[in-house]
Amino acid sequence: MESVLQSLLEVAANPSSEVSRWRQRTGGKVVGWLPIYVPEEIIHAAGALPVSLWGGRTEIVRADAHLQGFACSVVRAVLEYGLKGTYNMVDGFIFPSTCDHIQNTSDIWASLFPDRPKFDLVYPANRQSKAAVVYLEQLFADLEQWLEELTGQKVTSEKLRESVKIYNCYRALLADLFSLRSRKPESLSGPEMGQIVKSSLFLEKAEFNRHLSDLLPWLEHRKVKPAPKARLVLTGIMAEPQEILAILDELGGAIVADDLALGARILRAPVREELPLPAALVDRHLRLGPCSTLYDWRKGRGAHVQHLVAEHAADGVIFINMKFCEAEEFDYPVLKAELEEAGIPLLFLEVEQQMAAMGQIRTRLQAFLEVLGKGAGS
Amino acid sequence: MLKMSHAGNYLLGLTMLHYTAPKQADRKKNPVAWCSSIVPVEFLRALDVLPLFPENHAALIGARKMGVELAEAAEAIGYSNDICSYARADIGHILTGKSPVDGLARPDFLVCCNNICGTVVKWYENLAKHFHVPLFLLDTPFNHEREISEHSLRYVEGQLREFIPWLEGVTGKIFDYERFQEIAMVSNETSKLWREVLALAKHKPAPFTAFDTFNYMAPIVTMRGTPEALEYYRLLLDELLQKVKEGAAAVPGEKYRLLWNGIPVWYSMRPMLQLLAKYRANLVCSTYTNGWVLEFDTDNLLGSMARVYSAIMINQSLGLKLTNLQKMLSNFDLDGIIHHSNRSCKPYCFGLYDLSRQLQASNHAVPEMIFDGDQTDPRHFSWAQFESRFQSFIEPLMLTQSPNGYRRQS
Repeated sequence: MESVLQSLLEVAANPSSEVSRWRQRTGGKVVGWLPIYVPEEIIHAAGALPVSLWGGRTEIVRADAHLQGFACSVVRAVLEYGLKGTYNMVDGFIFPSTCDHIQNTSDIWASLFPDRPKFDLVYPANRQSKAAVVYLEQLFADLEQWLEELTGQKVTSEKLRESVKIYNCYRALLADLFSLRSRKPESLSGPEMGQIVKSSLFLEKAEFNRHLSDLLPWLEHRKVKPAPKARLVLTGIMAEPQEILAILDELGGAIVADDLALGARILRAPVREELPLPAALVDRHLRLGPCSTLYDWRKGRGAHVQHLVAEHAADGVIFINMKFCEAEEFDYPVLKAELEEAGIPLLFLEVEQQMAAMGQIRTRLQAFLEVLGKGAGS
Repeated sequence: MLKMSHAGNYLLGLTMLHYTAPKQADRKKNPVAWCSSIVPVEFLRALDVLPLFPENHAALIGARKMGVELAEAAEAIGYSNDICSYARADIGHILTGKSPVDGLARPDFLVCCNNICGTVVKWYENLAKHFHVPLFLLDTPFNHEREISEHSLRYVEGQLREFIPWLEGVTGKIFDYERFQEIAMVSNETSKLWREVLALAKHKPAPFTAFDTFNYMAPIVTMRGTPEALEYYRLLLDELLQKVKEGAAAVPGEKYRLLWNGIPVWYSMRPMLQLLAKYRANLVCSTYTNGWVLEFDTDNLLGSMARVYSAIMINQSLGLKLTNLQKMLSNFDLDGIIHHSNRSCKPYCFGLYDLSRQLQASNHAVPEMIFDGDQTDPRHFSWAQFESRFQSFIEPLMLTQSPNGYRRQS
């Protein structure tokens, strides 16, 4: 079992070689998608491998000529990877309308790579509108057609139903993994947990599901660290750089639940299999949230995070802010006020994908854990 | 700049009226709505709603150099300095009560349209939470292509149809479609005059500068659809036509005709005007002020409003932005472009570098400068950088000029 775990960690550490291997082995097309929400089921049903393009740690050299320094580190890294050839094994690109950064990077991308297939997944932001349903149905139909042209394979309703089953199974398995994280936080290190989720974004899901269902019973009895001194909820875009998770382990803090975009947010809301397809995928998109990038005039995130704290008996919340993410940065003051009122300790950590120095992060985490009264030094 | 004219006095009166009327309004008759800068106000006017525009207010905050103080007030409760400075300044005004116009009257409801950015969606979510009032979002999907797709337009039109009963619900009034049509006609007529005003800059020398238009634009933004705004642009057009007739030059000896691409640097307009004038350069037009030229087909009002409100330049592809620049370069016979890389306005400036490169590669290439700035927050603007970039931009132009007069006729 250790080797299964290692293989997943290896995929997360070096996704491009795994993706290249898949491409060579199957001769299939690779479809890269930017954050946050993409109906992967349709990509999967078209016989392509959906892979997430969520940036990464790379020195920004070429991208600076195209994007200002106040663009978020995710789109700068995506552009950098594109320009330096890291995405050469990616056959098609999907840019969702997640935010101004991604939306405008899509146009820059088009001018730099006019011949590389790209689909702009411009979602309806007003999901309350009845008109949004028709619009979204058309959008997914267009996506399906684009994928069929790219892969040369028809997305039949049988294939789509099969893919939906695989993805619902994937979500259920990750829910089990998240439950384990809360029940037995000592079974996986913080970075291992993050890497397992990350590996799922590069592996074909049926294959990932087999690995994870093998792994789960074994993990129940695994112990890699002492019981945590502080149980924490992590909210934000993603838990990167991953050193943060290692530092938390060292300090005795454990993430027992998350509200991360690259985490619980994309794994919520299973597709209702009793509904016809592709309407069921539209229905899922309309049920997603809360998320800083999905319009919500009720600002439901605060209640959701408080619910997570209660459900997982957490001691505090870390808001991990991807610098320049306006969607998150607008949520923060509201969440801060709500958590203060509820008496829930909150730490604001600002990160960029390219950051290297972790000294300040360590100091702040240490201080926070001490405030929680359960710090490593107390 | 123009000395105080009849139109100028009228503008001052309108601005006063715009900010004070909501404070004195009987909210049953005249509910107050806060709106993002390009929403279909015609619906609101038809129900005697008084709209207020936090962005316009924030521009005033910037112009009166109150931007830093108010932005810092928002930052003190957790708003990141990375967030749009209009939002920070305006939230700072809510927190402190400070404002150049004694503040905005409290809203009864909010209307937001994301045809200018996603930032306003987040900003208005927070306003809805703060004031506990309803919010309507009009979503105009970003257009990455040359043409806006039909299904996108149907979706926007569908939302406009839903907007009517929503408004009836929050105002407790009955929507009168005929009144709405009349207001749309007034709005149309006002937009047409605004377009004509802006087009006068085609004259050489131009009778005004784009800096002047940043003042002229207030009524088209805030009072579109009212007879008062219409009257203002009639007065203004008459005055400007007179100036054209007299051959008056906003910049004496105008030699270089430039385009401004971006939101103004509200707190630095005068020094910029003076620097440009020193080189006899005039900013004759801008992509910004064109945003409020909104003309509808009155035979298909909802359908054409869906199109017009979606087709805001910064809600569209880089290709369309390039075409727009190229058109303006030839229509106004321009010698160069000043691009504002504005830390606050992401949709306006992500893509600017490639836009500039594409323009240079096209047969419309003119000298360009890009400077780093911010619309309201001077902490992100360096006068020294602006001045030195301007000099390196204008000097090559000076070398290619003809001895007396314009560089060339295109």
